[in-house]
Amino acid sequence: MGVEIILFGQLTEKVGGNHFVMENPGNTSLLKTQLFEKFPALENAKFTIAINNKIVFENTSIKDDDKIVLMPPFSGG
Amino acid sequence: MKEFILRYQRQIILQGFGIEAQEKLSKANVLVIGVGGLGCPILQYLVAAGVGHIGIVDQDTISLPNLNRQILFGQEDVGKFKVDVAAAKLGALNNLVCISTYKQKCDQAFAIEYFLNYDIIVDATDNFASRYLINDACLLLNKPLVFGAVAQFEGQVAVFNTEKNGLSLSYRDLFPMPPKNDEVMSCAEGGILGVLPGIIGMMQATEVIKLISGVGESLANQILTYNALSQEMYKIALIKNPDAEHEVPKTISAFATLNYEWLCS
Repeated sequence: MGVEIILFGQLTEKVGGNHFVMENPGNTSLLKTQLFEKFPALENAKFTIAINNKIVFENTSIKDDDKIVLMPPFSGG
Repeated sequence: MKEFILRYQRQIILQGFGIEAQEKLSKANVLVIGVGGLGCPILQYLVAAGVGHIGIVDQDTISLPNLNRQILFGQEDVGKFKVDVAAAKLGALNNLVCISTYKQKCDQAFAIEYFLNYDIIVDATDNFASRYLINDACLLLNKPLVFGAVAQFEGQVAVFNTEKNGLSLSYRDLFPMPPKNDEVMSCAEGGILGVLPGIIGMMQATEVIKLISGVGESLANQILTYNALSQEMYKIALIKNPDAEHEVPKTISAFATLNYEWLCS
């Protein structure tokens, strides 16, 4: 039982892929801590978190099998 | 009248669209800011659809690297001003539509002077300073904003400052503050697949048409993300961001004096 992490844009370069599964960290604060530890380049990146296609800002609990998206801003046009 | 009906016949006969929707389009005023990868397809399709009055804003001239995606322009147009070439081509596409051109940057003075003349603002720009400026102007001046942005193989589309189910959100609810200057690559730095702004631009044009005509369900309070490599799309629900409130200028004069270039540097 884990959670699916999906990354958009340049975040994929900082992580080496756009999609992976990890053990449920429990909540979004712990998710960030664990991601920054594993992928230090993510720590200075700007992104918003969505759980099951809904944006979250406050520390939010994560359930098993949740789909987490990390979405950075784009500016190109 | 006969020409009007015949020209738009294929959409007029659509179930749920009709002459009423077409007349709404012909009375609408839409401002498209940026005539680049996004702006070109947006403009072509809004003009073809019969949006009555379209303003186009861009201070740039056409360059050769534009041509992989800015499909209003060809090699004979290199060096000419984008708004001039666009207006001529769009006029030839549909002479029932009125085009206003603004050969200038969309800065605070421009927004304050011109946004109120339009029903919908379309962000087809290519930098964060402009995007935050346009967003804040739309909030202050109470204008719906159809947003689109691209990077390499991915895109985002959203409709901001448009009430739906009692909620109205802005770009700042998604990203209250811009990233640092070197954090996100521009199209010149990171590259861009030509079809991508075509796809995203057309999604923006679709949202404009839906907002004006009332057909379908707008993307208000959602962001649609698209990946050209996988053809995957996500629709993600947005929520109010408690940090957004602090960042938005509260008055026209606060907006006029905010240094958006510095904010994004």
